[in-house]
Amino acid sequence: MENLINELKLKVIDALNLEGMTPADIADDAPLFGDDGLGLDSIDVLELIVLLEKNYGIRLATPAEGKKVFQSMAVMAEYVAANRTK
Amino acid sequence: MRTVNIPSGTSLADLYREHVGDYPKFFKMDTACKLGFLLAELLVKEDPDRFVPREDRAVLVFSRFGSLADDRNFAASMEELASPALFVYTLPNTVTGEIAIRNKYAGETSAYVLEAFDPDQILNQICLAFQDRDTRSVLAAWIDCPNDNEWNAIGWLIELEDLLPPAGEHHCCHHHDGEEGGEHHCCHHHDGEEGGEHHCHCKENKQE
Repeated sequence: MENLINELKLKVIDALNLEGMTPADIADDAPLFGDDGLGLDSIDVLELIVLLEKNYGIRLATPAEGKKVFQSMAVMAEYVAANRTK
Repeated sequence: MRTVNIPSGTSLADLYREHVGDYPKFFKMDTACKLGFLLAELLVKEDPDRFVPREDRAVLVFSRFGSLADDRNFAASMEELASPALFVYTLPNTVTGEIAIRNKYAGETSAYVLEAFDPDQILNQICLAFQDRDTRSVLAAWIDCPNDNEWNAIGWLIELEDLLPPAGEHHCCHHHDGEEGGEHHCCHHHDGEEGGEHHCHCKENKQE
């Protein structure tokens, strides 16, 4: 799981152009949205949905579903591990 | 009036790190928006009231290509999965929006796509912006960006006072009386003789 979390962090940093960030800067359990987290916005949610489909064959039905999946890197990794098709 | 330009080929990331550094959203912008954002930063970074919300500064952006560079990138992303982050920049006026959001400007914002760089047309639009009575400053830019690697980017910060003739001179062709006791400014564009053109700009403080 640790490897998957690290892989996801790298993909998120790249997909969202989080300049200057490294995986070490993102705590596994830190919220991705809101002032306390990475400060991602609604467009970032859509980009993360695309990331899951493109890299892991996971199709989220709605952005609302993404809200649960994208709580933190750890939650996201658990979801990917359980639902990936590639 | 202040003028800045960003030569084609400049590292925009390096320019951001040197002059800004506190606005990570910069890295999500398309190239045209990065250019507009940086031109604005360079023009207004010394403003004494930086980031105080204001409605009296208009933002006008001119180009030939509009958002074509990002349009192409977005079209390329559609071959696999369309990128929402690229889609949001597929409009020429996102440049004015990014500048206004960053600087808390709530005045006029306009984006114009011209057939070619046309100083007369640009000056005329700047003058028109000053006619709404609320506008006392215009941040204007020519941002011509056919792709992510080449561009022509120049910005101007024009204050209303810049358009006034020196004290004792009056170059205005036409002027209007404003409201009693108020002030007015005008900026007219006339066809001159033999098909030429000239511009005239003036503001009068109506004190007499």
